[in-house]
Amino acid sequence: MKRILLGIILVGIVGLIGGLAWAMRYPALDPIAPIDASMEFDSQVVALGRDLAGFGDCSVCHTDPRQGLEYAGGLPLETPFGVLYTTNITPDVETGIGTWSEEAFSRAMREGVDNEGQYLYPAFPYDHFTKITDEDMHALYAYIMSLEPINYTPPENELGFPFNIRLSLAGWNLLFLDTSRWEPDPTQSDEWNRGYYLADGLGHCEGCHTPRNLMGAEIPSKAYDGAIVEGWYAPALNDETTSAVPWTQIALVNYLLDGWDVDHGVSAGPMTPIVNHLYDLPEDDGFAIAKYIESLRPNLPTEAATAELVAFAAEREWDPENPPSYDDPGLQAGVEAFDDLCANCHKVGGTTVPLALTSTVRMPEALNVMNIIFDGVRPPLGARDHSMPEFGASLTDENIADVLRFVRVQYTNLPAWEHLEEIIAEKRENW
Amino acid sequence: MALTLTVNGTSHVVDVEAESPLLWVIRDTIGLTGTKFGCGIAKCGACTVHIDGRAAKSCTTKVSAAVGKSITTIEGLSPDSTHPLQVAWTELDTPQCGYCQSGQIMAAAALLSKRANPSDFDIDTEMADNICRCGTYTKIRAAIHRAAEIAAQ
Repeated sequence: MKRILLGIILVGIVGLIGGLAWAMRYPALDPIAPIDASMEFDSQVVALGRDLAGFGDCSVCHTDPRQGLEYAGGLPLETPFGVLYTTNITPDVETGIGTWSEEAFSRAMREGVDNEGQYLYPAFPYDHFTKITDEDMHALYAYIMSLEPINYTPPENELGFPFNIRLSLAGWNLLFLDTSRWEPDPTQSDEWNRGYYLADGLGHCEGCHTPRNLMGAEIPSKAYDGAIVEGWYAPALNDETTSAVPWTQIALVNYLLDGWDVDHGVSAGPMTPIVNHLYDLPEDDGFAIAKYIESLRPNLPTEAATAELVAFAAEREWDPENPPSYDDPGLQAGVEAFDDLCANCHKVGGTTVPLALTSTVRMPEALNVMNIIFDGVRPPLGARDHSMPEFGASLTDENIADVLRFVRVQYTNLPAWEHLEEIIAEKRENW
Repeated sequence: MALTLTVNGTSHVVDVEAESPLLWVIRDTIGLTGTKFGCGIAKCGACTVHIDGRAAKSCTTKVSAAVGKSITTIEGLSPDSTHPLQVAWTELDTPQCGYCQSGQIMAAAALLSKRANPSDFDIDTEMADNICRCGTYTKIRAAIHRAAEIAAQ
């Protein structure tokens, strides 16, 4: 009996050591001497890397807009596990990645491990970047190493136990990281496959548009179901969409390249920098991504159902001669606040997309419309004339709740938005 | 209706309708005329002031929504016109006719409080709702960059 027990303990210890050894299998990679990127890399490769890095939105996270030091990191990312600060990825030798070899860079991008062999947190989407081709990876490295080095150390992460132990991510990677290379789907067109490669890899669209589990990993069975990220709702792109008019490839191209489509509205919030960067990609790539995204929704509504929603949208547009009126005093307060502020532009014959067609008004969450009321719309490069002023300081929280309630009832037949007071109070507090 | 407003750190008791646009209370009742009327529908930005540090179009803000908050107008941006934006504006001769400029400066001040070192793109997008009929946009952009430089010194 004793011997069996001893055996079990021994096996346990060996297993533990083996597991630890496995988790600690990444060696530190040798630092490289500072390189002169202009000598090292072809300028066309660097230019490709610049466009790819833009499309991958590297600078969106690796820049703290309050400081404006591009790629030097320091942006706080609020996660359920604590606050992460993005890292300095400029080629600064002391504080950035100036001593990283291409091998170290590629390992970080594909396996989520830094040059020292330390695990990186999966807020960095290496679970998508792992799909990037060698050629694109080389271009990204060439571009990043060509940046102006910035000597800046971002703040320390604020994570509780056990999330502050980086080794725990070995388990996360074991469960959720698939480092197999990207493979085209032979049953699909080249255009579709190009879109799939860009959206699934470097573009990491799912990073926002797919809900995550309790451990912060995307849930594959809910791919593109829509999710709440950083106080915004990243809408469903699959059959779960609540969009009134189906997103065709052309509508998506309009939205992704110009930032605006006549049947859906203007891009806003965290999508804005993405649209601005897409602007720099070859146009064919924009069409390819649109082709892929369009295919995520195989079950389209009938033309009659869409026509009905379009007719509903026209019928519900605000008519200054004959504004709506409601018996409910809360909704009527919303009508009055809308009349004061919103109806100057959102009205029959105006230049805005009918509110009942906009994706934001039809979303299951009020977050995006609320954010837009607070901060306005600062549209992307291709849709400058679709800006909207900020009203957060001009309206009380009660006014904003009234407008949101009214907008949902007036412009949709969908269920009312919930928790309005809570989300408005939270927004105000952090505003 | 007697309302108490705090404008540029000074408390004012004003007898106005709760529905009155803040702009007219600031200009006509309190007598601070640096803030201008342009379009009246929050599209031109001439009437931009700060409410609790955030830019707001005072033409479409009801005075009742500003009660209990700290309102800043162009007159209160600095006690002696030494705000980095005012220095940069003077240095680069930014205004032409000047009508929109107090709104421009207030919008720029709100931008700089969020982004200490804004890019051209940040400036163009954040200032999109402040219109200048003389077309001083390039000078405004340069002056905001200059102000960021002065503030960093």
